[in-house]
Amino acid sequence: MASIARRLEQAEQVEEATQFEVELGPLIADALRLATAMLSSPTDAEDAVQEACLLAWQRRSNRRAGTELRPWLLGIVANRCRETRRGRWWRMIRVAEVRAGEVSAAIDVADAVDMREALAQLRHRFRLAIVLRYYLDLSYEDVAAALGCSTDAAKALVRRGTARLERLLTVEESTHA
Amino acid sequence: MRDGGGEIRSRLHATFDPLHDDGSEPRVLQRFREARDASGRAARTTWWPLRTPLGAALTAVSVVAVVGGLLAVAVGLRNTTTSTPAKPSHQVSPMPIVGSPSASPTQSPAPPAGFDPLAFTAISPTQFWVLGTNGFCAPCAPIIERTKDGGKTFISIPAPPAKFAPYYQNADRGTVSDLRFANPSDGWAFGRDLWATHDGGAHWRSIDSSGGDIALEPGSNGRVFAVIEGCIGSSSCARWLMRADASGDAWTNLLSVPGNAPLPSLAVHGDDVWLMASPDLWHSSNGGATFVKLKSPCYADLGGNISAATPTVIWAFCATGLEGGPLVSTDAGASFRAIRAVITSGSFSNGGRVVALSALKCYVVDGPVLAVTTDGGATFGEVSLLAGGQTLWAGFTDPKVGYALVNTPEASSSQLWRTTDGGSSWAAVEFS
Repeated sequence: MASIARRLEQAEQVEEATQFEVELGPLIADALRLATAMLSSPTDAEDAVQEACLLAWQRRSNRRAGTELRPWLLGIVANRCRETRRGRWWRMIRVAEVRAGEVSAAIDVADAVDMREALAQLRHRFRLAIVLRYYLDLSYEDVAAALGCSTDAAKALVRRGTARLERLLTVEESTHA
Repeated sequence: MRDGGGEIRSRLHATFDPLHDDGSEPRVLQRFREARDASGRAARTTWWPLRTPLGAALTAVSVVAVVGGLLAVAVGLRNTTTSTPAKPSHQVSPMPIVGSPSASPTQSPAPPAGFDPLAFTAISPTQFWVLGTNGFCAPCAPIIERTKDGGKTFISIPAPPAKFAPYYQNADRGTVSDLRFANPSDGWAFGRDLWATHDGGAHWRSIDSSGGDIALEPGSNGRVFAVIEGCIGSSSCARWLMRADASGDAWTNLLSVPGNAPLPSLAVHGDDVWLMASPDLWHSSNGGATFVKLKSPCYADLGGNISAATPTVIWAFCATGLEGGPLVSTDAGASFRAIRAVITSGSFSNGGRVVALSALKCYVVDGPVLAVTTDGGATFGEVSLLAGGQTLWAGFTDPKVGYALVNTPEASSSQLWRTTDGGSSWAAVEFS
């Protein structure tokens, strides 16, 4: 009996893991884009997303019934990114990695550097709100779900974050000029 | 879905799209499967699965480095002899003082126009210091304002010759983000560097602290406690809880705690000291002479923060992934009761911080939300200091007098707010 029960339990676990992967798979791309924009490093982004996926799996019982995995996962990714940036070795100016052979001639490198530096100066929630809204093209409702706040608060964060980012970009550009 | 921000959108894509690698998605999914299976085999221990052969090798090197080298030689100033915090070493290992006392011992009569308050410390309900900058600049020279009359008048005192950088920025060495005073003479400015003054700010000394993150809290009986981080390379870090006499610069190692974990949280109340360093919560009731190891109330890999109200009442705030929540202990941290907090926006985010006043009363600072419970967490009310403002920090000097730093919604500046009735009413402090 114990053996049968054990096998049933294992089968349930395999099914649960498979179901989780079916849900998780299509979200990895967005999670990577979020982490890349938050960390400016595809390598660190992969680490953060992998750790977030594992956390999401380990904490799957915390997920409220009926809620989508996407905002929950993005919230965990954002949290991992924040922890990464809090690390001592992150508290220095980092140059984003660019994969060899993938740099388009059309990209203005100076613009990209300005954007990364300006984003890095924003507070975590502003940076996150902007990336979710303007880079992942999430609706305000989804931005709010990922941030764990109301839709109005998400709109305010995006609006204020954008204003600060534009001001920082203006400062960067005038400095370069 | 589209709205304003078209230029931001296109620049974000131009900046980050080239960093994408088509192979990332299957690689992450495969690594997740391996880590999940490994964590299952590990039967929910706190061991973190190694992700790649290279990661395994680096982790092994890190362990060797941390145990064999980092604790002993990281910055050449600590004499810790154990790699685990089982026994305080109590070896006095003064941090070297770098250079001679600095800063001009001059005081100017009033804060500069556009003073932006960003950090706060008090030694009484009426005597406090505010660390800030002169408006929008990054990084900025720090400015320190002092008042002895509850904020009616301020004078500027010399600040250490460092740059100010908020803790959430990627600050480099040479920056400070916070300030504490233990008495009118002895104070510290810290962040990535540590500066000390023993003459009320007239002169500041740089303390070589290895350039890691620093948290610092004064205690009673003329003591000050600090958590200091030291790293070798980019991944091998360790942290130490240290103690010094407030009037001097000789620091003693008390504990060493894991470096590659969420930032530890330090709480001091008189002779009681708590250090939450996942997965442990350390408590001393004798000013750091001995410590008891308790279990952290927070997830080891997500972290949180603690705040002490009395020698036995301590509140914690733990991140859970997407949300966070408060917990309270009335037995000095031996056990915690989780609180199901319901607020207008639903629940607290991961980034909340607790400000404990008693077993029944506690504030939670969580960005746009400043919430307070007066019934031990059964219900929470929300305080609106400034419409749309983000509360950066809050603290109380006694049950009645408290302060909060609030970021103004439309400007990149902050305001200091003060209450003298336990939080029923608040007023903005004018720096003039």
